[in-house]
Amino acid sequence: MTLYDKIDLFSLDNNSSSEERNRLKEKIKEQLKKDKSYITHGQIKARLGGKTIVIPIRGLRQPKWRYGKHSIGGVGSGDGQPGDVIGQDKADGQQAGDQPGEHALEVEVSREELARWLQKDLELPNVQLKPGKNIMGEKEVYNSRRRRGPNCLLDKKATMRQIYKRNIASGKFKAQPGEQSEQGSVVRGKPRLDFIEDDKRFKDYTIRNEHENAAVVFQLLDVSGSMGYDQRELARRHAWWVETFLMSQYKGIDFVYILHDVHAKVVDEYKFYNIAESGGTMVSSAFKKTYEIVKTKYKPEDYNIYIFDYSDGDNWGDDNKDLLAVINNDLMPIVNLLAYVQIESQWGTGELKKTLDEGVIVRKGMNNYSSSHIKSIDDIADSLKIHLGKGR
Amino acid sequence: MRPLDDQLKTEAKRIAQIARSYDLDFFDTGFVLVSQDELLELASHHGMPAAYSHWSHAVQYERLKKTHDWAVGKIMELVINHVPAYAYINSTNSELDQKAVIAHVYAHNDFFKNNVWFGPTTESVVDQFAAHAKRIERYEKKYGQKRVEKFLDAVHCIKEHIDIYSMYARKKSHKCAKCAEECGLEKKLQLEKFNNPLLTKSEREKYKSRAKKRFKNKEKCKKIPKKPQKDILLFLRDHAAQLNDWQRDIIDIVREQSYYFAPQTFTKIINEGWATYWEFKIMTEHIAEPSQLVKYSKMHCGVARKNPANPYWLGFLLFLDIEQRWNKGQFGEQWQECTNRVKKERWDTKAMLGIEKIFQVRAEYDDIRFIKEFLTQEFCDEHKFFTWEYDAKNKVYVIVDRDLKEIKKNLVYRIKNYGTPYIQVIDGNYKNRGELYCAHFYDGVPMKLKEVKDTLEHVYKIWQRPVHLETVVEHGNKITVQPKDSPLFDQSGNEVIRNEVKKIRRLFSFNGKKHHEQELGPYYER
Repeated sequence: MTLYDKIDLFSLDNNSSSEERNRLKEKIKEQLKKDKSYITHGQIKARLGGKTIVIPIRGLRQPKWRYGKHSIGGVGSGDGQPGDVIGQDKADGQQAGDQPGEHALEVEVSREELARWLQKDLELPNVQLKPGKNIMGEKEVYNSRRRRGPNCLLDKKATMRQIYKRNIASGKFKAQPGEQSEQGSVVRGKPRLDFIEDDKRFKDYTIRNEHENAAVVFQLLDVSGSMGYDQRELARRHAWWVETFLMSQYKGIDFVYILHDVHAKVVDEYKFYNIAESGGTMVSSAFKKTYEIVKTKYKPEDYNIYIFDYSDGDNWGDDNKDLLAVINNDLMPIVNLLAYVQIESQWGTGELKKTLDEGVIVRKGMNNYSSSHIKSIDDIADSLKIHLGKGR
Repeated sequence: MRPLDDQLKTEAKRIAQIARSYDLDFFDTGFVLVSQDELLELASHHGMPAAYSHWSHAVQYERLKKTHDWAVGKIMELVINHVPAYAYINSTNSELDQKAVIAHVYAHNDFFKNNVWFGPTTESVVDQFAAHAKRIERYEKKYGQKRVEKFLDAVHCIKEHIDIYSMYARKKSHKCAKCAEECGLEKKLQLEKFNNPLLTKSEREKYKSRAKKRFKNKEKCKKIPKKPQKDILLFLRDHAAQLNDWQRDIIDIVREQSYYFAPQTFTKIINEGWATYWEFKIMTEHIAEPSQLVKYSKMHCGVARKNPANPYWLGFLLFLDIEQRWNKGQFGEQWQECTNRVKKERWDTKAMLGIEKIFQVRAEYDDIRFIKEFLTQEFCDEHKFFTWEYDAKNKVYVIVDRDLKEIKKNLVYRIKNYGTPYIQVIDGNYKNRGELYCAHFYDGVPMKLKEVKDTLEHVYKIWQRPVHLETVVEHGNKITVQPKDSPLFDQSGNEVIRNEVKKIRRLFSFNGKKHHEQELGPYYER
């Protein structure tokens, strides 16, 4: 049958559908940026690991003149008398899922891009870099070409140059000055060039050693019994955004995660974002641990040091003296920022914020202490602004 | 994407032969095996491989992909109404499924070829869609992708608002109507010398020129449109003042595609029923081996799940019912008038007109008439049909009625006019300020108010002058069903108010910056 010869006409134009999907992604991003919901959307645990994160969003469908969901009703089949209840409206809030077809779309956004959005939306200034604090690091510089490579690295200019070179060398093509218009642009369609696969040139990188501004961020999380799941979740979300922002500011950045109840211990990223523990609270233990690590690993001359402490504000009464001692004597002179984030909980007294606000001695010209208080997910943006809004 | 392998090809030939022996009449059909992903991509483009690109297709794709990933539904095949017919088949189907799908496709094609409602659709629709895509691509290059996309977004919002049945009406030319009026004036002026014989020649000339001027002015002031116009897209294309040519062309493209898809939306039940009927017949009587029958029945039950909202099930059973009734002679006046239930059940005149009747139904009916005529009280009783509604007060769904009339009405709501509210352009020069006035023909179902406003914003983008929409809103909670034992009259003898709902006509307006609402008074049933 000749029918099958025509299959080509019926084959898919793959380019156009991938283009559509890209356009949709852009559209979702626009929407996310517009309603600023990306700060609060999604689960923080799902955000770990990759360089990109997935944010689900609702809506984004084209409005239409249509009947309301509940106005038509429908036809069913089965037993029952008029007046019998056959089902309940599951969506309690009127907001969620207005139509059966509506569902969450997802989009991948890189962390750098999120940091940019955050910086723009919260009007965060760039961190003022301190001179001298840097380490040697490796950097990839795209400054050479090669003949094989992925298409995304195709250097069009170099490829074009190569095509001209080969065509002129082989004598097939002569640059004819007469055929050029006054502006110098080549008359369209006239010079015919041929192109072979070998003409392609791809960008390639070399590795260079460079000075990088370095930073270390200590994330201290109170995991005592009074910090419930919700509080920890808030703390983690806050911590994640702090990381995202500071990552965009420093090239060489390290993170140290410390969990503390009565004792403090250093954990890895996964554990920090997933742990559930309980016990009493001795905040000083965490700060002492931090100072230990700074002494052994991160020289204050080389590193910008950030400390973020998340707690519900409950501390063992006798511990306050120790705490202020280690903060005032050891840490305050060397850190860029010591931030205390208090998370409201049902059981926490919230005394610690007061103690710290009164007890921490900020040295002249340093301005490196800040504290905030968050109740719900909506306060995170304000809190971020308090801590990161001054370019420290 | 590849043609069928040899084994399936011979199988397809065999099935075609069997189908033809039943007098099914279809064009040659090309089958293309496609992967799941390709099929989803096609489905998200309404089955058209060369449709223009728009982000809403990607939304559709994501949605389909999710239902597939969660194994809620599976698309087995897609048929394009084209000459020769084309069918995309999911290559992940099992061999038995593949045969059933092929039989299903042949029956669909028979329907496309023979049903009267598909008469006006173009045969080379794929080429047409490809041409549309090319045109839009060109506009994107010329006027910028964002600009074209924004305009397409706006047009998409009202793409359902076309005049479906105008396809089948004889086309009236507007030009001729105008000519006739002008001719009338000429004749009248020619008779002038008999009416007023005393006028001098110069006076007569003066009179004539005045009459012509008056006629022209009258023409200018005439209401646009003369009668309420259902085809909003056409009206916007012809009368929106600020549009460029490429924008008018885009409206035309969307409109043409809407007209192409229209017959498919209002023949869904009958078309799927027809295809399922023949698929079932061919499979059980010829193709499936005895050992495969259970497996096939399982697949068939999956597709035709019992649910009145499932077109496969409803259409299939209605066709079976029609065949049986006409075989037994259960039709006509005598049968209608018979009130003896037992006698009615045992009615059998051995008329054997079943096959003839269903072929007639296939050729002449659409969903609305199919349901109105062949959904009988007996059928509803047998399958225990009822209508349900949402009780906003208690937030539950309740059974309302088992009345045949209500059931039919409810089924038809989802089919007629693309399943959307019936909206017409009433005035294109509202308040003599070039504003657009549309009205919703209220038939008992209110519109979704939030989207009324959002859509108005989009219509404004096309019309570029203030736009209005009149509709009816309901206030108060509807009590759908009163408990059975509740009294009809209260203690003082007044009738208990059954419905708390107040119906009020309301005008929604958008002037480019602000939304405005205005009450137009209570709504009375016509």
